[in-house]
Amino acid sequence: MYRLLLTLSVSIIFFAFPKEALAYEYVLPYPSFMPGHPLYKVSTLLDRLEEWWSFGNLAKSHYYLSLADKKLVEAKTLFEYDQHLLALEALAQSDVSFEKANAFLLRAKEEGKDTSEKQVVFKNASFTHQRVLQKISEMLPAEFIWQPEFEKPTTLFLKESLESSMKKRNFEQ
Amino acid sequence: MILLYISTLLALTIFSYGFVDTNFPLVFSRELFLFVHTKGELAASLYSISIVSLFICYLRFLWLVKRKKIAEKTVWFLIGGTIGILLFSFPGFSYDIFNYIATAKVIFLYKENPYIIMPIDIPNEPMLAFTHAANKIALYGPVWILLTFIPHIAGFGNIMFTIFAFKVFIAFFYVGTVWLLWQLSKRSLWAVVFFALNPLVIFETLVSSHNDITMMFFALLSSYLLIKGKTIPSLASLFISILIKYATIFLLPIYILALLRKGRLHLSTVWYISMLSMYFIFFLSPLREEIYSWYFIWILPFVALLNKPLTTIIALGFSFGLLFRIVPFLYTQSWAGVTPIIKSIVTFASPLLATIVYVLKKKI
Repeated sequence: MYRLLLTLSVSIIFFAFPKEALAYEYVLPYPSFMPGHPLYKVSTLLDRLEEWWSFGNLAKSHYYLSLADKKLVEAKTLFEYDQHLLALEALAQSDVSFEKANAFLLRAKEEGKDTSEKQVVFKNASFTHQRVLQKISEMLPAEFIWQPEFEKPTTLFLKESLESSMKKRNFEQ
Repeated sequence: MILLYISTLLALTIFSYGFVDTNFPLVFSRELFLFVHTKGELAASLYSISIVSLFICYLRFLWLVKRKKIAEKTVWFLIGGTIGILLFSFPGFSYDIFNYIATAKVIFLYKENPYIIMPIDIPNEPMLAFTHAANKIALYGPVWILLTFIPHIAGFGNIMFTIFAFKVFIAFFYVGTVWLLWQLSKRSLWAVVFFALNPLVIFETLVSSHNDITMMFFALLSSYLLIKGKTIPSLASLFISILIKYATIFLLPIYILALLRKGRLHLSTVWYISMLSMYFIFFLSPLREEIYSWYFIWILPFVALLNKPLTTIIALGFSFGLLFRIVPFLYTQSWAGVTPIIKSIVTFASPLLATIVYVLKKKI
């Protein structure tokens, strides 16, 4: 009886918890150069050149997804260093890139290319992005007053921005 | 001898259809396919006999040229006949041509950057069923990619037409290279026969359709234009060559030297250093993957132009040995096991043996 109860309990616990860990096969890159670093502008220029080099809908989708990852990691690092204004700018760029990546993937599908494998990667990427955004959201206040030295203060609606970013990554193909 | 040569070419052409991939949309000869893949010893023997036969004819032609016992017309007839027969062979001994076709489709049909998108990134591409190494981005330079537009269009989307178009395309560069050798050697029949009828050259160019001949065509064109005093087109031609397969970047130093010492550098010095430069990159190729037999096409034009006994003997040895690299695979139907060891042995044994025999003969 005791063994049956134990087996049942373990089974319930095992099946009750969602197996989201299996979906998180997508790995984000390491942080690149941050704003303020002497090579940050060079890095931005290289991103522009890579955008030009990535012609074709699949290549563009791949490029924008990589850029979305890069900017998300940049935003996360900046949030950790309380550089919230710069972080929100990076997050906005990540949002735009992520949407473009999705758009180009859809275009590739409309062209007749089989994008089923890419869509799985994209879904995994969105899960990973959402998880990261959730973690950032948990460590930040809802609002932050950004006080530059000789300018008027600005209220940054952090939780709102993060929720908006999470919604943008909640897509259905 | 000509009859033996033509018969061997015909036999090789028929034999090549035994290497058609099982997933290829067209079926040629199931019996031939089964023969090649189930009777390894016999297939390896037949292949070896064909290569030996080709070499016997080749050496005989070289001997006749040396003794001035063969007419120029006969040589051109042999070259023309070789092209005419081998154009209809199936490029089954190497999968590179299928990669050329797949990469051309990635850029010209699917309009994707082949340096970012691999053929397998488009899973519904029918060619993937019989294309090997489809999980790689484009390995060749942008000029080669652009050039493949011509055979891609000429193929009209049909795989057999496209294969034939690529073979014709490569054959044009083969003819062009032979013509350049004819001009650069000051109309030496020896240089033409040495290169054009070399079994390694005809096998890897006219059967397997590797693009090395395209790279060497532009490299030789560069030398030809430099001699004619057309420096800018010559430099452009060399860069086109480099942007096909990169290996001829090792010709830059000798090219610059020849440019700076215009008229004061002996041509044989240029060919000698060029040959050594290409040998250097040839022996470095195991660092990337392995020594492939078709890489020797980079060296042969300069050996042809040099026309020196020792360099010729070594090149003949390599030409012979390199063509036997596929034999252990034919025999065992496996690239693993003893195959890599035998490949190395056959590659280096014959040039070594040939050199030893030559040196001993000279001493005696």
